[in-house]
Amino acid sequence: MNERQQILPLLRSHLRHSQQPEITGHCDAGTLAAFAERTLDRTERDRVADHLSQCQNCRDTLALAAEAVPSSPTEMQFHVKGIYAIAALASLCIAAVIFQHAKTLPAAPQQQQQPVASNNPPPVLSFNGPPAFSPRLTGAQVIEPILTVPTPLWRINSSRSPATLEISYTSGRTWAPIRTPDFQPKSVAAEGANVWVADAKGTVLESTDLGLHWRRLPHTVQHRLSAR
Amino acid sequence: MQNGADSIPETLALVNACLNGDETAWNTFIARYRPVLYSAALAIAKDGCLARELADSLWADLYGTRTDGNGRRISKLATYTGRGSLEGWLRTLLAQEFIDRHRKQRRLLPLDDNAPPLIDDPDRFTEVADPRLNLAFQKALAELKGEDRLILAAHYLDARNLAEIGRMLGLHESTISRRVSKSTRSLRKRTIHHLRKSGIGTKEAAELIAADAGQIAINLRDHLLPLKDAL
Repeated sequence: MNERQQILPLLRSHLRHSQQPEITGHCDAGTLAAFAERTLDRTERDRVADHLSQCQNCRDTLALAAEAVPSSPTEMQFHVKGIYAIAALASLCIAAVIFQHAKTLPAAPQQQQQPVASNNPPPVLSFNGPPAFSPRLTGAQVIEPILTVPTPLWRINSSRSPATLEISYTSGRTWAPIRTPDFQPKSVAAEGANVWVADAKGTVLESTDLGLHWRRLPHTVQHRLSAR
Repeated sequence: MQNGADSIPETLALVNACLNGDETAWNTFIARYRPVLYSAALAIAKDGCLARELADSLWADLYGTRTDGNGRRISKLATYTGRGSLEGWLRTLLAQEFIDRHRKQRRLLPLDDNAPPLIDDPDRFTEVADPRLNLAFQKALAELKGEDRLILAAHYLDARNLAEIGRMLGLHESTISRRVSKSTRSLRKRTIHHLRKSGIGTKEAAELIAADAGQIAINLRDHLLPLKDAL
């Protein structure tokens, strides 16, 4: 029997048989409601708690009224947990899709493992690797060990002015800027060697060679993309 | 506010208007709080018929079925002071009414001759053998915060689970669990402290508690009642 358990029998043995104390001057409904809602000041809260610890009638009332509260903190906690569970499940599904997609891609030549120098575009002609993802999709790093080439990552570096598009072949350790003439990129998406960047106005540029050459997408295509 | 609609002053204004016989205010009150009242009654009574009876009875009291000398209805709404939300107040009134009815009904039940005695083992009510331990434990209990004593009473006296106590106090059950553990640890520590103050050594005090743990019941009710006197 540990130290805490030594105290418990002392309490429990009587609790099973104790009778309700006859206390007069029960808490009124407003006080109990305010206590449950934690709106009493500290002094009064202590006084009411003191009474409640001695009065089974008021404890029963408080407990029963608490059961009728539509959304208790515990239930709210359950909802929050449920949201996390759904998010975790969605993440697993996304990871599974990425994993499956990556397995279907052919192996890339070994020379692709060289990091890209900061001002040089990546060796796009020999690129035959897996899909690239924006830095927000960190799942790309999860699948990296099964790939034969480093997965290029893309990001918009907003710390520069103007914001620049950057690529990394080193899992985000080093980044190289990619030129997008007369264009201020706001977001980026990529799949394999295909890269799309959009600006704040919704204009979309497309590159099929990892950012070496760009072309502006017609509005109809942009509309279709934005409708995805 | 529970329904996110009214502040306490707005609710009080509505209640005062209802008490002054403003029919528009009363209609507003009905629209807002009648569903609350009935759903709360159902949650408390857990029986459709009883819930409706309970809610109707309270609703009649709120409206006021009697009048005073000036012809004004005597409404239970007059006792709402705005200390808590109106929904909370209504739920508490329902709970009080339900408990009152339940206890009245229990008193009216015929006695069962074969029912076991209320106290099946009088020996279990033996007071703590050593009065020094009794006194030390009493002081230790009195030194706990009121809310911690409430949690212990709800858990060990009323056998409520942590989630139920959490709902009573507006706290998460993990918080209640921590506080139960902390309070019981503190009880033991403070009991030893008071035993030491009465001239008993630490080792002897611990042994005294351990020896009494399995065989002696402390009358918690008697300890909970005169807390203020003990301080």
